[in-house]
Amino acid sequence: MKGLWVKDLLVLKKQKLAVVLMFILAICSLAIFGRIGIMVGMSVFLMVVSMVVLTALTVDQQNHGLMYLLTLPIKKRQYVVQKYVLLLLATICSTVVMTIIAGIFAAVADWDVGFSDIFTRVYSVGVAMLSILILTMQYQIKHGPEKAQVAMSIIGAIVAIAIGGVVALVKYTSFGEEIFNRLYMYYIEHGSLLILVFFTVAGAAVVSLSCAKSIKTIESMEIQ
Amino acid sequence: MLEVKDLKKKYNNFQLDCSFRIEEDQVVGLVGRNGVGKTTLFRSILGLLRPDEGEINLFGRSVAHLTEADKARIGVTFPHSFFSEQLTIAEIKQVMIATYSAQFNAAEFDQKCNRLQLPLDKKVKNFSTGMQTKLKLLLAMSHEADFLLLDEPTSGLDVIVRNEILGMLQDYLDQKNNRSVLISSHISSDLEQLCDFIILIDDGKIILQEETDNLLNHYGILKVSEQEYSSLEQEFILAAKKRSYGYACLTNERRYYQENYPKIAIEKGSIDEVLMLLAKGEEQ
Amino acid sequence: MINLNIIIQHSSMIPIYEQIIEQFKGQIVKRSLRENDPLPSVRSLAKELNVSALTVKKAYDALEESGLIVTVHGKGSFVAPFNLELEKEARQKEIESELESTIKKAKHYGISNGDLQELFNLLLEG
Repeated sequence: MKGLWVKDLLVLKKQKLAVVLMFILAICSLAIFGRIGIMVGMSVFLMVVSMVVLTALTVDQQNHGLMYLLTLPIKKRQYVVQKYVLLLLATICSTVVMTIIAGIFAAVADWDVGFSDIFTRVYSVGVAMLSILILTMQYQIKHGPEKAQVAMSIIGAIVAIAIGGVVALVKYTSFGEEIFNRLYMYYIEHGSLLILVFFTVAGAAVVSLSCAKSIKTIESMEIQ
Repeated sequence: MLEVKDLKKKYNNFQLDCSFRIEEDQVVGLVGRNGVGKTTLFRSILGLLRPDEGEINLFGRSVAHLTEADKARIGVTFPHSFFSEQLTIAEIKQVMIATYSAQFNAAEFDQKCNRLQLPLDKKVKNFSTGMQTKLKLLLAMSHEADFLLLDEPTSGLDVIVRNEILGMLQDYLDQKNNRSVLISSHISSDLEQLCDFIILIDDGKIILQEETDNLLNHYGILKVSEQEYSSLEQEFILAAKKRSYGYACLTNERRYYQENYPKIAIEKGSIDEVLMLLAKGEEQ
Repeated sequence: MINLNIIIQHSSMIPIYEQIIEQFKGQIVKRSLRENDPLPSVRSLAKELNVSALTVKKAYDALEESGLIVTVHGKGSFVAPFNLELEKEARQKEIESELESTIKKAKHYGISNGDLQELFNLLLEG
């Protein structure tokens, strides 16, 4: 298993440029959009970080690479678990980094946001994106990198539409507005703890279920 | 060391159906045309495919349950599958050390890379086919593996480098007396020099399993005219195919025909000739 | 490691392990291989001659059976102590069988025993 980590880190190191670029973009979005930029910047940053991580999987799958890799002294299940842990770690790191930066911005530019508020926003985006990427990875493990790219675009589109739909619902319907106000009141009164817990539990569920499914996939599929 | 029992696997356009064993200290060559099932067989042995029927046991254990320690004793090369070509040899070395720890002999590996002129800091994707092939084989032999499974390990190499590689393989086998190899190749001369046993596969089935020795020393190709063919003792003729001059016949008792039919043209058996006569594809 | 000077003809119709055995025997009789000289390992000889290890193993086994080499487990094979009696006996037998087949042939051709003896004495003198 250690070999897998060394390999992935070596591969990922080659993508430093992409990450640095996105880092800069995230900072810019914070600078330009202020508080709203927190969630936007985080989404963008995390998206790139995770795509960079997904390339670790892609690179293994290209040129029948998985065939050779699985003849090394690793178990198929270890391979899958390692990939999931990798994605998880990347998300956690991005969350921490983004929180710190946003925090610095907030302090320097004197925004009206508490630290826990920043963290909640970053965290919820983090978990939401993680789920999407986890599902993409699950799909990619089963169907290969080419199809996964298509899938990811589709998923991205669906998510965008869903978010747009929710926003529209909240803005333009009284029903939506009421639910939103209730949740917001709750949030103001009780703080972000519940939200964090909710996201964590939901996230953990998605990750473990997906991982189990992927292990099953790889154990039974024909590697070529 | 390896036991394949009644392995059956239906694949694209053939049905794999074979049984054989490989003991310690044996080198077995697998020969057959493209697409007859050689790579499928390798994949089955390595647990990358599940057979429809039959069992495969490696190191006394079913390949479906190989432990990491078992897998550490295997060295594999595939013609079209390897580490990501974005990596350099130096980086691959790091991965190997992390994967095999003390078993990986870094000093010897460096030495051999040097000898074969493989640059340590160039991305593998910039290597020629020959260089990639050499690297794959070196890696397979770099961690004290007891069993090597080499799928077309010398394709793309010129004869001089092939000889060097085969020499390294021989040295590798000489280091310990329990190492075995299963090697598939199109280059019969390599197999004739290296292998103790030859397995010929056609259409997913084993059409010949023989000691290389016997094949080279007792098998023969009789080249006879129509007339001669009709009066030929058929008992030791394994196969015959029509040719422009009459018939080419395969026998495993060359001496018999040498002694009793001194006038017929008889040639030594070679893997290529034997395969051509035994494989399907021309009228019999 | 002893430089063996064994030459194998791959293109020959004579089985390779027979060629190996013959060459070995020749060297032992000629004394270019002496008692207790170590033989190369099966694999290294196989590599040198470009033949399979099994072929060399067979040759070594045959040589061991005829008492010409001795294999010590874990140490390798060595030229057996030169058994003069064995050698003499073997040579005697060889000549005996050759004479036998010549006599047979002579009878086949209808040459009388007397003529044959005369011929033999003539050749012995000359």
